Amino acid sequence: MLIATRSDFSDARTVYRGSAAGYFLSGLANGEYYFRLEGKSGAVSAPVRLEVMHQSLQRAIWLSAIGMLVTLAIVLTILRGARDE
Amino acid sequence: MSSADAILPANTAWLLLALFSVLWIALGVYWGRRNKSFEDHALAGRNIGLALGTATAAATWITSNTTMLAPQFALQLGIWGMIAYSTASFGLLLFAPMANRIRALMPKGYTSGDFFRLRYGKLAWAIFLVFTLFYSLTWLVSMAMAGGIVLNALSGIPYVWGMSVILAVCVIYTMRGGLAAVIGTDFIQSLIIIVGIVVVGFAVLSHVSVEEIHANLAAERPALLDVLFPAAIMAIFNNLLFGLGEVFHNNVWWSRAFAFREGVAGKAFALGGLVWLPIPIAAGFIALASGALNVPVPAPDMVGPLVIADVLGMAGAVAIFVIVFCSLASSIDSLLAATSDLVTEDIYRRMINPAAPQQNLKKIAQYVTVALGVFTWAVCLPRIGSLATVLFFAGPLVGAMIWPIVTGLYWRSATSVGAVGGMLLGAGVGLVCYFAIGWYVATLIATAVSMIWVLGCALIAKPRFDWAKLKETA
Amino acid sequence: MTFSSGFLNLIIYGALIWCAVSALGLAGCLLRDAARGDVW
Repeated sequence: MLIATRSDFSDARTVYRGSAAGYFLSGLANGEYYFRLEGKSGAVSAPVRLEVMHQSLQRAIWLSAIGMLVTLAIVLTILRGARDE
Repeated sequence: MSSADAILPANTAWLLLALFSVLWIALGVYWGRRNKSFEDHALAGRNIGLALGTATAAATWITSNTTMLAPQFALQLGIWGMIAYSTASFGLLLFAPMANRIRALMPKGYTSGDFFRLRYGKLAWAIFLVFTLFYSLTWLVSMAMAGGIVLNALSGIPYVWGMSVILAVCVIYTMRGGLAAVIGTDFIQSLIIIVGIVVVGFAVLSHVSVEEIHANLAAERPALLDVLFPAAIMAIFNNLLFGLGEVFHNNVWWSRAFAFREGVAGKAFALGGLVWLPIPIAAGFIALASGALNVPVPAPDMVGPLVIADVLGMAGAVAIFVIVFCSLASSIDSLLAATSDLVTEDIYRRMINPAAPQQNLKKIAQYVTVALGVFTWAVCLPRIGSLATVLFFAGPLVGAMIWPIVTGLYWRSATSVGAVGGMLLGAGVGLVCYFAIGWYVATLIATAVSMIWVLGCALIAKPRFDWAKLKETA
Repeated sequence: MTFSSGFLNLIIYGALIWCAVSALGLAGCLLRDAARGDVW
């Protein structure tokens, strides 16, 4: 199985060689990718186009800030313990 | 997955399954002979020591998710995925001081339901019961289902048989032995799991170095190494809060707080958290090696077993089978025991038959365990894959219970209005966000909304709670 | 910005050794409890 970032596969490299019927791929950076399969005899499949777009980093950081605040508040409440007994 | 792809021959798998089944059931029956009353059965005589306490806290938190999902998380979310998963141990670490307080405030308590009833009254108690039963039953179903699926994928044992055997074994020894059997087997299971993970981890590293893994990732899957991988960063606090909510509310953990000997509870939960902390990384990094080892992964949830079987062959396949079986059993038994105690104490004893003597309660608890097993089995039978996703709905529910519980334990100013409103508002807004935005914000928003409501109510509250009301006798 | 190879080394070996130590610790703790008759 070949992966490339140009539709003419001029920069293709092999991601997997073998006989598995399925393949899970993760961790690609943002961008467009093209895949195709090549048989041992040289047969070539039609390319598959894939676009990778990660979640917005800004939103991730905002959510993390809220999460950190809530978590800190919980930790402080527990560590402070009971006061008005 | 067909049996042709299985990594372990079916007869070897059956033999392993039979050996462990006989062992757990024998231990359950043996330890069960100590139990005379409901208190012995449900809380193992309130006298669990530090070693068993630590091991049971860690083992119960090591579900099939930890050993199977940690590699999947690593493969999908990279290094942050493993670290984010490790933060689930904070649930145990933070529950440690709470467990001490629970034991001191409620020396005669049985369940987390007792706390809601005595602290916040009937309405909050009812909402709590709906939330916790929803969570516990979906967790139980998803684990029994995962058990059948994983055993099938590993060894080709048909799904229905694998699921039925695991569930039946856990039901039998939990019913016969009660919490003592659950905690005793947890100790053995936790040692098997940890030693197995260490051996497998070093064996994988003898085939591929960390440098090779890193070079392969940098070349082919750079986002997995990215310090600012957005999807992974978003997952961190959502997971952390889901974990806190699970531990803080569920009777699985409260029943242990009541069962540990005086002075042991806090230490055991803190040490259990520390024991658990490295496990998602130790079990998860194996997935990152799949590229460097050229192991094809057809679906992310099978990455761990595939890499291990590829590298270690038959021995690896046996190891992963045993690890997965132990992590499933250690959680299913705990959930069965804790949920049956909750139903027995909160529903049967407090709502239906308050005069029931201790001896009868033990019988009822045993029947409830069997009924829970049969119910779970019936739901798992058709193998509806989408059912497992229902567990994610539980995120907002458990998140919304964090603040009512924490403030209820520490602040006299925490009120019923605060608890009821916090649970309903938090869970409602969280569920809306689950559908409108995505799963990765649901728990976070639910906890935040419930926090604002609970704190607001506590701030303007006039009445002060009398802690002595929690010390209900019998 | 990416996690370095050294960091990956640290967390993987750290986690494995930590697990090994905690297994030994648990076993040792049980023996200690048993010696005192404090298991349960």
